[in-house]
Amino acid sequence: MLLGLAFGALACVFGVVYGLLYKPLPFLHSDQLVTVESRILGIPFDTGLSVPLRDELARNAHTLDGVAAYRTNEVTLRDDGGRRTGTLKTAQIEPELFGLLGAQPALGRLFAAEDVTENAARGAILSWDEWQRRFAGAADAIGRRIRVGGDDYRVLGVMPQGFAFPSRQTGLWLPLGFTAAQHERSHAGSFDGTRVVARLRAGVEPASAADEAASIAKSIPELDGAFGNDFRVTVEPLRSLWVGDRREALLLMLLAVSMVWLVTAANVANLCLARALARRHEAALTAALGASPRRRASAAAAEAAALCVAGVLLGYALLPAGTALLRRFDLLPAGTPQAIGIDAPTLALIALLAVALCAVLALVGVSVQRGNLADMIRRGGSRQTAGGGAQAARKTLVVAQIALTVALLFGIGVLLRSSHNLLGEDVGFRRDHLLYAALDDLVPAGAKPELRAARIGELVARARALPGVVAVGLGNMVPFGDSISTSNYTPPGQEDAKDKPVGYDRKIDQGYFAALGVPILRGRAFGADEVRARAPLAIVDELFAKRHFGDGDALGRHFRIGTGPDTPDRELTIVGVVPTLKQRSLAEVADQPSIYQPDPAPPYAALIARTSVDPAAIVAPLKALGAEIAPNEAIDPIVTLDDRIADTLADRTRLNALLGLLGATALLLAAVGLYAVLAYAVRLRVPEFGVHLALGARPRQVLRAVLGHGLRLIGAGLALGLPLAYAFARLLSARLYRVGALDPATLGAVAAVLAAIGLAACWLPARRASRVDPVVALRNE
Amino acid sequence: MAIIELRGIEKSFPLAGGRSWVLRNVDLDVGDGEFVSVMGPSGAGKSSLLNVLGLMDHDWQGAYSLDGVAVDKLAAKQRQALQREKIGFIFQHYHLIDELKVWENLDLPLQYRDVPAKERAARVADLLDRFQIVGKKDLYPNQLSGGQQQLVAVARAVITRPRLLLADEPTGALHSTQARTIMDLLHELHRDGITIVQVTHNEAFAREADRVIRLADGWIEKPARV
Repeated sequence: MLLGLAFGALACVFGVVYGLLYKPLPFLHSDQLVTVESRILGIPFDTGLSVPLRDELARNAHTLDGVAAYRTNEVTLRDDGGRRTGTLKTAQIEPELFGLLGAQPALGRLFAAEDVTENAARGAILSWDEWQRRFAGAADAIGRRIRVGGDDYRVLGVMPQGFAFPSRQTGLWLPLGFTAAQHERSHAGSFDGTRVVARLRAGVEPASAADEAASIAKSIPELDGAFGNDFRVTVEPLRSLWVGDRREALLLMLLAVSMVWLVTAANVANLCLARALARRHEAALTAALGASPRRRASAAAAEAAALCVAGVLLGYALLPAGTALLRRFDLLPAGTPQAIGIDAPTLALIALLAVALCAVLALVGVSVQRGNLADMIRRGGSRQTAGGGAQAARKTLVVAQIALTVALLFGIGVLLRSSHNLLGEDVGFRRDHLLYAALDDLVPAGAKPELRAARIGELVARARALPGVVAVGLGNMVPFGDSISTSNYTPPGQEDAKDKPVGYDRKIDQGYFAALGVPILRGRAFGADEVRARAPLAIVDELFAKRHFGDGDALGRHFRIGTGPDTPDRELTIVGVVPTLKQRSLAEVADQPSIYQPDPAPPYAALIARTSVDPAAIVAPLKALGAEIAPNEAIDPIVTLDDRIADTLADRTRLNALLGLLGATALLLAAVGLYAVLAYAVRLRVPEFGVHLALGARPRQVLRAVLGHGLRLIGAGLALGLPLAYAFARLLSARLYRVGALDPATLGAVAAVLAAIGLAACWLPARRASRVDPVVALRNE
Repeated sequence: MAIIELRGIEKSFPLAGGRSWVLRNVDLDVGDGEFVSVMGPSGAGKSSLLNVLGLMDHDWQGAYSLDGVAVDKLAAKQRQALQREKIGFIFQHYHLIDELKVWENLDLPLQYRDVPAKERAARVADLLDRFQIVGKKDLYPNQLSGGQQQLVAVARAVITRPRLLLADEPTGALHSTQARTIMDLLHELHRDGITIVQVTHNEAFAREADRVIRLADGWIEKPARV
């Protein structure tokens, strides 16, 4: 059973690692396909690529053989009454993209250049599943009209079953074209989520392409002038779209399940050795009766093979459950274009490991049968004592099990400590009793700003009156919220400076700081009239004040902030200073100052409500309020800010949970191994304990001796595990937060847990040894 | 004065439809400093009698006084303490501890009696010298011959200076020369005043004792003076 679990876990994780990281994608020469992205330092997410940069890459990059852009979107589906019925993932793609991927339609045609001309009819290509859903697979779907997101499209084609890009959930592809204005170099610094797929020329590595792309970006003055060295271009294999930041977690999981497999294999080998030793007498008798060594070896091999085959079969049976578990813990993304599961390399690895384990087990069986037959027969089954080699092997296996378990538990320990330290970080505001609600969908797309402002104003006013709500605030950038807005600003007193730094551009109402529980360190908050009038005032954070005024007073000082590519900068007067808040992650070190401006209904507005009761209890009333104000819309999401913060650690939490599961398994296996070794040693030494007792030993002295034996094994395992634990923690160093790779507290805790579990495992055999009846023990001699 | 006084000792095991008797109404006195041999066919109850005498078995009926202490009235811990104080054992198969060197085997009973380390070392050295096995002190039991192992086992039995030495077929696993050496050693210990009860199948060695007791089906056949 344990072996099956170990094989299952290893096969499952290896299958996902291979499938996600190494298996060829189902596209033409997929190893040459790359994704080109850009990053602006200080903005912690992908900005996509601007259209002029995409154009320059397509024209001038010698390392690339084809470039195509795409955007993803999720459109709201509505019934005839305008009510939301669901969502559909769509992708706008340039016609060249399908060609780059080597895709062919199952029905109809792909996009052509004329589909993206200004006057082209709106065309769409359906995924196989969407075709089935909308047209039940009817061949006459081509040319028919469909309505998506309020617009009508003509179906041009259907993609084959299984085709997926950029996600398996993408149901519809729409043509992507750019206007002449978007192609202009002046828009080189405008990013709107456009992503680019390219094909490397034969023999070109992504790193070379990245170097060339960076130099091309540098050669665009409009881009270089706006961001300078803060602008980076990355070229990654296409699979990075789906792998995301899972690579490290997956490799860690593979390492952890490999360790558990080794612990299990050691355990099984140990138990087999014990069984073989117990059956030595029988084997000797069989040999004496004429069984040839080959025949005895075959019997041992058959027994080992049966065990391994059973383990492998059980492992395969558990694969679907394991894969579902990994998907649940987000180590396996849902939308990969390639199928992930049992592949030939996974089968080969498991078969190889099974054969190797089988060989070891068979060898164990054969090796203990060697020796003086007469002696083995004379000494009888009950008195079999293992040779020094076999005993040493058993002890070594247990010590190795304990050492691996120490490493695994230590790794889990430092990860848990890191998560704990992160959760304890000061975020700059009172994080408890806060509810966060995104108001993007309070009005339909394209609604008039007046409607939006009216609805937001009504919602904020009525939310303040909800029972249990003590304060309500509004802002475009709530800490740990969904949106981020940045603007360039002219630092005070540096009006002629060429470089304009970037700051968080926060628009807030008068209740924002009170709701968040952010203290005003100097000056004052905005008044309601100032918010209504969008007065040219600013509240800045400590980072801004320290950076630009040092120890001087920021209040009453002026500076200018950008408002858009074609609009003049706005001059603001500083009226207050607040603490610097964590925005996206608990581990972040503030490197970008915040500028707060008054606004009664900012774009991407989110509502913050401070509650006197459990904030989760306000979710339903707030949702109902939203439904009253905008019956056809929805406030989504509404979550507690504590949950949002915990979500930023979700990948850690999930990995911790999985590793914890593996650690507990390893601990259990090590305890079983320790128990088995000691129980067997006690059984072998019953006559010896009888002698000890006959010589005057007290039962507790025997008990202590056996416990001491166990403790020595635990101690040796701990000593051997220490360097392994250190190495493992070093591998985790990117995930450690304020915890050393040799954290003494964690090490102490691991040693204590292991010693406690180990002693519990030793207790029963030790007690049995202390209760040996010397008369019985010596009579059996 | 008798160091051992057994009165009406009976020992049996329950069996389907009855009991299997091992010792039947055994009355036996062994004088202080006496050397007694116990003989009898296999299954006669010799080893069972020795276990009762050695306080290793307490599942019997009757009265047993060891050096004036009524054993049958003692609690388990008191019995163990009395055993540690008065009794030494020699086994047919030596039962030395394989993982311990010769000197460590000798040291072991002293450790169990909480003898201070310094005194233990002195006693071990004394006995190694007396038994002429100083040269073997750092060897492990499996590096010794059977006779040498039994020599060490006898040394181990007497290192605690017991009043009573119980030997269960001490020469049973040895060839004649080695057996002779062990018997000579027992005589020497006897001369030093130790009371010895040995179980043996060897008629000649049995007769070397002061007295031979013969057991059959759990009964003492007849006491005989040699």
